[in-house]
Amino acid sequence: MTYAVAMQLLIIEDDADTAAYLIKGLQESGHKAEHAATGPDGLQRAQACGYDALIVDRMLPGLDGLSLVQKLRAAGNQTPVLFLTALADVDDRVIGLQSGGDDYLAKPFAFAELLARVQAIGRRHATAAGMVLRVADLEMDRLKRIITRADIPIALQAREFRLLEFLMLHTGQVVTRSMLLEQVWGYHFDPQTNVIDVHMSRLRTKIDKQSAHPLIHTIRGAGYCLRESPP
Amino acid sequence: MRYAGFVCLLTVVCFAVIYWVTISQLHTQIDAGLRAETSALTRLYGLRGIEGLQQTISALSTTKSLAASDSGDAGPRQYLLTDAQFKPLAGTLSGWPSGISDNAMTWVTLRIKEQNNQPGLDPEHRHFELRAVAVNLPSGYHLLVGQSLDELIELRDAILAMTIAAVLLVLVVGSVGGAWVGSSVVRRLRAVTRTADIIMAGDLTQRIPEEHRRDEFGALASKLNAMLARIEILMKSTREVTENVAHDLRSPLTRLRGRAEMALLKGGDMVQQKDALQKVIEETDGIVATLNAILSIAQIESGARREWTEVDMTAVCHDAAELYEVLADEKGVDFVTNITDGVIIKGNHQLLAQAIGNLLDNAIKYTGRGGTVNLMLVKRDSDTIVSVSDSGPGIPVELRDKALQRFVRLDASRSQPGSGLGLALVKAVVEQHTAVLHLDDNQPGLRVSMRFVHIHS
Repeated sequence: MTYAVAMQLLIIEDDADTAAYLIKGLQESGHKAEHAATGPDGLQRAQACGYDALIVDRMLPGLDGLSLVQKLRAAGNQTPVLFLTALADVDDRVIGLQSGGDDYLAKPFAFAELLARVQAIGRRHATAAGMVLRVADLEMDRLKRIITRADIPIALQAREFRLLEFLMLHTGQVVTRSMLLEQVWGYHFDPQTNVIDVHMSRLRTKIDKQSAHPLIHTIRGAGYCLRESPP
Repeated sequence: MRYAGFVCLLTVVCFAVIYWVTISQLHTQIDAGLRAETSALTRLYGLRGIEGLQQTISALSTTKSLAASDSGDAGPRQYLLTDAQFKPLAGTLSGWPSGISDNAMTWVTLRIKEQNNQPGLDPEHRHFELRAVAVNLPSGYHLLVGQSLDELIELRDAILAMTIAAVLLVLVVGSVGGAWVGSSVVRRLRAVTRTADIIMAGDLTQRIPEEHRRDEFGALASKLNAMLARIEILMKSTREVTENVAHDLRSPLTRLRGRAEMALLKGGDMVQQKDALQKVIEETDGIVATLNAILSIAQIESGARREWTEVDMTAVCHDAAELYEVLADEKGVDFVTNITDGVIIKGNHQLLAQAIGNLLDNAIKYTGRGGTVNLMLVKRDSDTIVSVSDSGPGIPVELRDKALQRFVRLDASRSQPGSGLGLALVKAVVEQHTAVLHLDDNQPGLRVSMRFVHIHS
């Protein structure tokens, strides 16, 4: 159901059930996924093959996740890493990112969340974003902070601008509510109400209302996606 | 005991030093006096010959003269002038003492037995210590000039006696004092140990008895009690988490299990099974959210404060306002902010943001359409206040304490979604920041204020 680029992924996880579930889910989403059950094995394979992203559990036999990624980075390997872990407070997240991880997801997680985040950090997507972003007839000049759709300027508030910018930088990918909360507001907690949805609905009104081709789509059970073609 | 022993040793050393210094001083003085007199007499001999010397010594040996010559502490001088055969010619001694080597000048210390023939002095045999110098005069005469050391000996004995007395005194006082202090220390340490035993047996409410004495033990006791109080809070928090987890997760878990079982029982209707599985996921998510919230509060309560930084409260408030104002607008609630610029407090950014977020969330949730929610940040001299007020139903005074407890949903709010942990989390964050939480009547509605006292470093 997602339209993202197919990725080559390595899952380094010692729990067989979780690994099986992840592999199945990722493959059904159109990606190729392999599995390593121990730290040393995972490290060796990550260095041997060029994966688009690694999914690494922090607790691993033989070599823990943090050390594994540190070694990888020390050897010059820049493969994007998503940490998966039961250790979930803000400090653990900071430690994970400082060790060289690109994102950090707490267990238990919704598969859609994992999928969205893996795609967001995936190497193939990391094209150098220019100062001008374009999706269909929507154009954003990041420097001048001007948005136009079909050449008609749209007035956005500061926060709406940042929200749209994030969506445009991840065109075609699923962006979850927690990703938006983290990246646009810097919040690492889950607000009890659907504040994000309200913001998105406002943004959508400004961007899509005048056009016959909506760009902002709600992906049920996952989040939002900005793209040209309808789902 | 060791201490007393050490002090004794020190006392002895002190006295020994005094003794040695005093006595050697006196010896030096005596010898100097003897040397001076001897050289004077030798010169006299040179000038006046043997007769002159003999006369002088006889004169010196009279009682009156001896009394006058009594040089300070050491007693009268003794003289003896003899010929080459050691036959006495003049002086206070009756005979040349034995054991003096025949050198030009010999210094000796002798024990003399003499019969005191001098009138006025004790007419008895007596022994005394004599420090003397014996010289050979030209033409074979011998001259002995000496000084009784009796008084010196008395002084030495006196010092010795004082030393012994002092040592004994120190020993006694030291032992008694030490024993007394020791027993006091032992007694108080035993009180601590006894309390510790009771605590380890399970009673965390026990405290070390404080006697309010302003010494190190008093300070120690009060610090230990403060530590015990903190441990009690942490234990209580842990217990509450366990209780909450048990209590509040059992229901959703039961429902979860129930749905799964039902899905298995029913016939192979794919739609129904899919629906059941969907509900299972929803229920699970709910459980995870509750679990995270409980753990979050427990972590906050037991957390260390080392991750504190300078937090820009103005920015935090603006960010929170920006997040929630659209929600307020959507619900037809008027959102007003009153945020002072440049307010900084020491703390944890994430926790503070979350606390304010929770308060705004609640405020907007409980204020009906047409109501007002106000976010205010004020900095005063001694403190900084963040307050969120609404025009909703508010909380009656008698229920305010209860509202801060975990999982309490006051009747008026049962219709609203949420886990009932919002205010409990705010309370935990406030306490971690050594701040105060106030719930007041906003007339109408509720006003929640967090008051952060400024820490002056």
